[in-house]
Amino acid sequence: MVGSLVRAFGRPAIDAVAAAGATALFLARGLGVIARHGFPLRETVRLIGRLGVSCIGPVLLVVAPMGAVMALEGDVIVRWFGVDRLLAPLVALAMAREIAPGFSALMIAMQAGASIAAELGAMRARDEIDAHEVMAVDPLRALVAPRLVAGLIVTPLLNLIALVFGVATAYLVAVYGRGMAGAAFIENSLYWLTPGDVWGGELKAAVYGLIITAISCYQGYHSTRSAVGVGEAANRAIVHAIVMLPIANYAINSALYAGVGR
Amino acid sequence: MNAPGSALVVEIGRTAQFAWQVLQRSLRPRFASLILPAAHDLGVGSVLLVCIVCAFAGAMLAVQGHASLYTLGAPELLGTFVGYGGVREIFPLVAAGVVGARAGSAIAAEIATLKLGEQLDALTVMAIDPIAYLAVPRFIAAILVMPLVMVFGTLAGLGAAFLTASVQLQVDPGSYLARLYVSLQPFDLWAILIKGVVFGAIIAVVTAAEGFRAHGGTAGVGAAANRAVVRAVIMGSIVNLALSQALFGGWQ
Repeated sequence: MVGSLVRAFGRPAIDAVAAAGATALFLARGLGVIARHGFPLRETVRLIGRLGVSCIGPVLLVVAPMGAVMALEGDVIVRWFGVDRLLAPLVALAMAREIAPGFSALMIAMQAGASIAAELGAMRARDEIDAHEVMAVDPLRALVAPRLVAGLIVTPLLNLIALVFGVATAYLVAVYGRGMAGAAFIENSLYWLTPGDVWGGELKAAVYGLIITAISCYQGYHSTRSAVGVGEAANRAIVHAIVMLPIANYAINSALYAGVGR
Repeated sequence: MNAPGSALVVEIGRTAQFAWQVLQRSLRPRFASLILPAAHDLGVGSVLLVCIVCAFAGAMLAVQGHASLYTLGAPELLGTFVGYGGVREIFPLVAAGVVGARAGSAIAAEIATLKLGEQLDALTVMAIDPIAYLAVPRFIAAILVMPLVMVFGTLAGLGAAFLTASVQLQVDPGSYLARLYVSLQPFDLWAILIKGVVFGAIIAVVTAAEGFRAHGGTAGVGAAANRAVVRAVIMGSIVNLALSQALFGGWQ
């Protein structure tokens, strides 16, 4: 009874830790290649454009309603406590620190992460990655390095756009829906929101971008050589990213924000 | 008239049409024995993942809430913060995102594989309605199981938030729990269940619709699964706006 229970929870746990470790080693190898041999610039720029264009719609469509939700519900709560002026900073701070980086990264993992895994998986299945090796072209430099760099650059950029749109929808709801003074909304937000909050969000977004591309490159690179294997790689890339992102988030939060009051 | 917007409207309309077909057939499900396996896939397969991710979301809420509330001089309001922000919004959304990513892409991929293998046509030839056979059991399973998964996720999130607050951030556990109890009402449980039913329905319908619409060889399966997840999450977050306003916005 106890043995089977331990096995039922232990096996997936060991597998999960093993996968995380293998992905981390893969990331380290990729970064090592970038450090020693650089990365193909033209391909990287092309990828930045492709990932950015394909992700901007999903990111904005998810983050923008979040700003409206926070304004709507936050409005009820701040009126309840009689601190109307704190609504705008509440939304702006939560957006900059958590919502914009977190949900942008979620959508980028679903849109770009899955497509990267499927793309590399298909190349593995068609023996294209082996062909790279045969021609003495390092697939880590040709395929993985540009994707890592692109993820590192695209995610913070999308995070900034999402932040602007998220606060903008909150502004629309608060000012036109609930009759708050527009100038007061902006004034109060800027009083509480520091550059450090925005940079903290950008740091998070950069780490998330690296995690997403590392996981999806790893899953695609090591997928089994079949159509089913490609689909599984894409699915695993999303699931692993969704588990790893909140864990990384907790670690970054503890480093950046848990120090107050000590 | 080939603007990208018009294509989007057409797709939304087709998905709505599909949702109506699924709903009609769900009133008298013909393949009731398929509901239980689908529920097992959806629920047991996702609940551990949902709990892990919700737990870290709860820890995130505690750390962030504490950082903001401490500077305002009211760290014990953290219980209220987690009670409102977590239970009403973050935990249900995170749970829906995880189930959408894990089970949703599987639903889309399965149906797309059948479609591209022309097995849907084979079903039709055998006088079996593919929507009633493939989509309806998953739809019913999703609206039954999602609320339960969300309750588990919320519990995990609340537990992790409490641990983070009391152990890592050293907020007084007693006043934290007191604030949490005051902020939660029985209606919040109903709200979680209602959100679960709605998100479950959205995930099942949107992902199954993408599966039925798959085209273009084996790459089409991956593309359908990818589109399904993204669209389900976008739908969920937009519907969440209306749902939150309906459930929590009225009373002041």
